[in-house]
Amino acid sequence: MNSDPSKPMVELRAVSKRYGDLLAVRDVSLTVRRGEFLTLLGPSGCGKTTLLRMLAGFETPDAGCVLIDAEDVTALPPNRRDVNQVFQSYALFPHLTVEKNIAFGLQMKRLPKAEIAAKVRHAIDLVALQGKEAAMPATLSGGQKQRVALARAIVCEPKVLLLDEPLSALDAKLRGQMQIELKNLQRTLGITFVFVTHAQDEALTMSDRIAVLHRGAIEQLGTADEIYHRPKTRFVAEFIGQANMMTASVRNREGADALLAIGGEFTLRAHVAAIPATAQSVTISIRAEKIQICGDGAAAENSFAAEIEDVLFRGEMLQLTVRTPDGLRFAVVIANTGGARKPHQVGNRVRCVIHRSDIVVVDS
Amino acid sequence: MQAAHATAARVGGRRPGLVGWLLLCPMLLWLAAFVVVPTLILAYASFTRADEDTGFPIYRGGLTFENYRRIVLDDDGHFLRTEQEEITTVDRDGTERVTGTHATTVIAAPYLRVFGSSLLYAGITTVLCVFVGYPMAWYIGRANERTRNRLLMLVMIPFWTGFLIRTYAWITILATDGLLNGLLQYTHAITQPFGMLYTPGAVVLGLVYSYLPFMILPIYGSVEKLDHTLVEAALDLGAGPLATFRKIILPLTRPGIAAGVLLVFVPAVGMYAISSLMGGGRTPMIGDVIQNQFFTGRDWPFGCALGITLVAMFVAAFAILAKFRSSVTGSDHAFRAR
Ligand SMILES: Nc1ncnc2c1ncn2[C@@H]1O[C@H](COP(=O)(O)OP(=O)(O)O)[C@@H](O)[C@H]1O
Ligand SMILES: [Mg+2]
Repeated sequence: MNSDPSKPMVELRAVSKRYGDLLAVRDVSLTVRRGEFLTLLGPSGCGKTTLLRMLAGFETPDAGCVLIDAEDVTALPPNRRDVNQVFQSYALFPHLTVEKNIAFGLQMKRLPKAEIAAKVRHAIDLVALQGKEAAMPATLSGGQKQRVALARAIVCEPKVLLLDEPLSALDAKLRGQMQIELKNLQRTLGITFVFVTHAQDEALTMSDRIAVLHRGAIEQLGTADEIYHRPKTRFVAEFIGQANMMTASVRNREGADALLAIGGEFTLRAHVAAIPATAQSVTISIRAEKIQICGDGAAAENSFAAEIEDVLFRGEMLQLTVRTPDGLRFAVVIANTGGARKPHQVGNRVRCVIHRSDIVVVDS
Repeated sequence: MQAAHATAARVGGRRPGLVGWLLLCPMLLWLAAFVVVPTLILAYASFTRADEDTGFPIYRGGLTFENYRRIVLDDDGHFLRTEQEEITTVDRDGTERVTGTHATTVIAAPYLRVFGSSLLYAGITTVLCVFVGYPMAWYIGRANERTRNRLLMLVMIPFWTGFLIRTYAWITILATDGLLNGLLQYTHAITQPFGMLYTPGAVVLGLVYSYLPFMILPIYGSVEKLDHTLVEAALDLGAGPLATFRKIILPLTRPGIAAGVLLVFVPAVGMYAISSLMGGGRTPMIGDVIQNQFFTGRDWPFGCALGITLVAMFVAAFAILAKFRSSVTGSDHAFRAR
């Protein structure tokens, strides 16, 4: 087959899908590079599964087309597409052993028996399931089922591996471990992954690029760093991490900087590359952990006095709510280094500092 | 203890505790009163002689194997009888001459033949029910809830009327001057009515019609339980529709098919009335013969012996089947654990 490395592995061209009155996927265009780990991230019901099912071939788009390795597969049924899926519920065949589950796809390809056996053994090694070959799925733990589902899909060496919230049924600890294993596996095998999740930590940990979906459309496509630090829209800023969203009016501009007034007299100096020239009012996002607390020291740029109104203990983090004399509230997250000293208590007066490049203007 | 527990769990349940036994009591009593005791009475009566006038068993008249002998052997005391039919030719002058014989046919004792044809009818009925019922059950099981409930209702509506009434309804449809012939003639599909009633085909039709719901419902049950993502997973792994059916759907709905086969085959073997009403009594089924012993035939002990033979056949078949299943399909356990 043609495998021109410069061509994208997956390409969606203006794809839409409608269920009755509901436009589940609206006009999505997206390219996934060869060997890329791309994540579709969004809240429940935003159309992630629908998008993935159109890649797998379980749904046909109402408009647009789907290309896999430069071949238009829009009309191809799932069994004739060179993609495999790891299902959220694992979908292991309950009447077949682990080994036979994994061998299923290869048997369908009518490979010679010896080759199937060798590949299955290799896949079992890859996911560390040695000794479980003859086990029935019902006797496996959640994590083991997960590995079987993974092995069953990758043993077919698909061009694209589709994963629909594969880790959501695992407990937190196992999930963290599987995140790393999955990422390593993807690097080793070089298979293109399209990964669906509603959990931002998963997306941020594993992905080369993330497409944030909202109401069936892509809000932003970029690396974890871009999505996190430079959210383009209010939705992305609010969905990922914890952000202080505010409406500000532009006082004046000095080159790339702008003086923003929030509420009445409270002002912040922001380094914003492209504030719309005409905008008088903008929406800004300030990540909670970008606000620094520095005791009651001298007045630096963008520093302001505030009083701690609330403290939440979050383990390695402390989550504070601070209130300025003007009545503005900020959510602040700081490392929990206090130990027994407890420097941050409700009622303490502190100084907060925000670096000017940590203020992001988003589309509202 | 641990091991015993595991074994009990594997064969499909745990041992009932005291409360369990108490809860089981009504059912056990019911079984004893209406199944075990009557069967024992039948078994006893099957070894007695019939009263010449009434046909009732003479309980104090001593025991005999005569009834069973009559089932297994023919009038001449043979289990099998060979028969050679002569081929005769008629000469020009009108005299008949024997010019040869047909191949030898082996004929079993008459009552065994009735058993045989009953099994054959029931077997054909069961196979047809599987082939007709499975697609229907699949469609119902995959439909959305509203459609599904309506279709299930349609499957069960025939039970609202008596089984005899439904059989007579078929007679009015299939008769030579019946509805179907009338319709075919009216639409000029045929010019002459043809005999559909009183044929083996009519009997099979009647049996399939009567037992189809018993095939559809259990298969529907296992289709409805089937996780459809398994079907998607199979397609995703490159299996075409046929391979998906053979490798995934069929094995996972097999319990439903097995239940349906039992629910259809067992009662169909002993079915009465349909064969006499729709088959014209030409190829009686064992149910008719048994029924006859208690009414016009007036030989209750013989009827009992036929009944017990039928029961014994099923018990033997189940025992063999159970042994076969547990030794061949070891995976059945894990399957049930789901
Ligand atoms: N088969 C379907 N019929 C009708 N509506 C559907 C169907 N599948 C999904 N939807 C709807 O489409 C929207 C997107 O669903 P989905 O792609 O499953 O979202 P996600 O995976 O992001 O949670 C949801 O509102 C869902 O209710
Ligand atoms: Mg989903």
